[in-house]
Amino acid sequence: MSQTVESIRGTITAYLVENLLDGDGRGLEPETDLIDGGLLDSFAIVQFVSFLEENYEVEIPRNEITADRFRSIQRVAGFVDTTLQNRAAADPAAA
Amino acid sequence: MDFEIPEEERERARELQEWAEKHLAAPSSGVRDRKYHQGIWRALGERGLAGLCAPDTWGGAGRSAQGTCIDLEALGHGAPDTGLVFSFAAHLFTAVVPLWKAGDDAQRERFLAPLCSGAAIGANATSEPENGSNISALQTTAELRNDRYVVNGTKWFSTNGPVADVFIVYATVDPERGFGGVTAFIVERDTPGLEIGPLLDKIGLAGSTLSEVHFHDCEVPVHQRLGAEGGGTMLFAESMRWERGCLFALYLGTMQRQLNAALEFARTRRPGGTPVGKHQSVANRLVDMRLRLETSRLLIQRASWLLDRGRRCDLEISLAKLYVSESAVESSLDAIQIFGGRGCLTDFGVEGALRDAIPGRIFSGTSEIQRVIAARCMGL
Repeated sequence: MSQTVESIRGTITAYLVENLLDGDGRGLEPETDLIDGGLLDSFAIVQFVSFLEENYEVEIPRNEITADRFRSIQRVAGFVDTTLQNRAAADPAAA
Repeated sequence: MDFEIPEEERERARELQEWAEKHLAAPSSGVRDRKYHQGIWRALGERGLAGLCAPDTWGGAGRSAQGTCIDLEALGHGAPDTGLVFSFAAHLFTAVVPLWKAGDDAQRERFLAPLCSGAAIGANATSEPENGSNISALQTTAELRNDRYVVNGTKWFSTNGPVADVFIVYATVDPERGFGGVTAFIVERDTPGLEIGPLLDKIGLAGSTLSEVHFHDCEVPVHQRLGAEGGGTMLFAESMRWERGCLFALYLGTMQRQLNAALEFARTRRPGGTPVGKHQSVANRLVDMRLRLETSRLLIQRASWLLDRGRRCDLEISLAKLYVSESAVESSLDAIQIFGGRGCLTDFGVEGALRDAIPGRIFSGTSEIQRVIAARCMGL
């Protein structure tokens, strides 16, 4: 299934609001710092990556997961988009 | 839904159990001898076990998480020394898995292949004296200087530390970055600045060695960084996912062996002419042991099934780890009670299972930590 960065961003935002903000997403913007803002700690980021992998049916290489790539919704969406595009290039049937 | 384990898997398990009975018995004088462990690892390699869950490309057996659990249960059932199976599992999940998941091809060829062949023993160095296994608060530092990281700090509770050839070391490249600074490194035993502390004696798991590991200006080449800077948190989580989800399958084997022995005793021991198993108080304990074993097995199989499919499984893994480790202790206490005075004799082979089970509630995250993880997974 083809995904746009915008739809990925929406999915990510919904996950964060539901799972980490008790349903209250006020103040959460695409560029909000998820790390320094305390939303993603070492446990939450592991859960978050698991969600992304399950939701997008993709295994994110462990050597590509860093805190900086998960600093904001915008960065995560871009990273997921790139990962999906790489997968599509390697396996067009999966796109 | 199919609960049947295929016949070829059951046959493999039977063969592994018999193999473990012959090959995984540690003499009391042997556990401190590194050559002894090297011999065990060679045997594991010859049997195709040393890289059990790693891809065959690198010499592994390519077993799934579910298959790995079936194999570890068989080894736990057969091995006279549970500590050796524990050590082997630690090698698998804290060294083989991280190299398989995050290593580049050069690292896999140089370090993973020998671990999978049994030519090298793996260990990890994560826990620290001040912060335990809190990955966000590591005090061991890795400072980049030109083409090398200079590692300084102290690790403790390094399983296989006294005998390992390769360590997966977690250190921070910037303490201010918390979990975002955690980075993994591959460090060989003979690296200058790496000092292995004396063997630490512990309750149970006698065949497994444990020590501190110290780093004094230990220089690690950049090409031995495992994954990206800041990628250590996820890698450690992946390693723990496999360890918590699969290692505890070995306790299914020890619980099955314990139940078989207790049943045999309850049927054949006849003080006053009546088998003790005919007494409801004894039978109830045996039923409870069976219930714990069956429940533990289902929890492990479910967690490893999810792990194999790349599904979210941290809740299921924590529940499995928590339940199996607590059950192993409870059933060991029941077994001692059933055997009575014999159960208290160290030569009789019953009380040792209790000593082997108690650390299970501590390592890989305590029972309390598993409840914290489960609660967070449940949205609490």
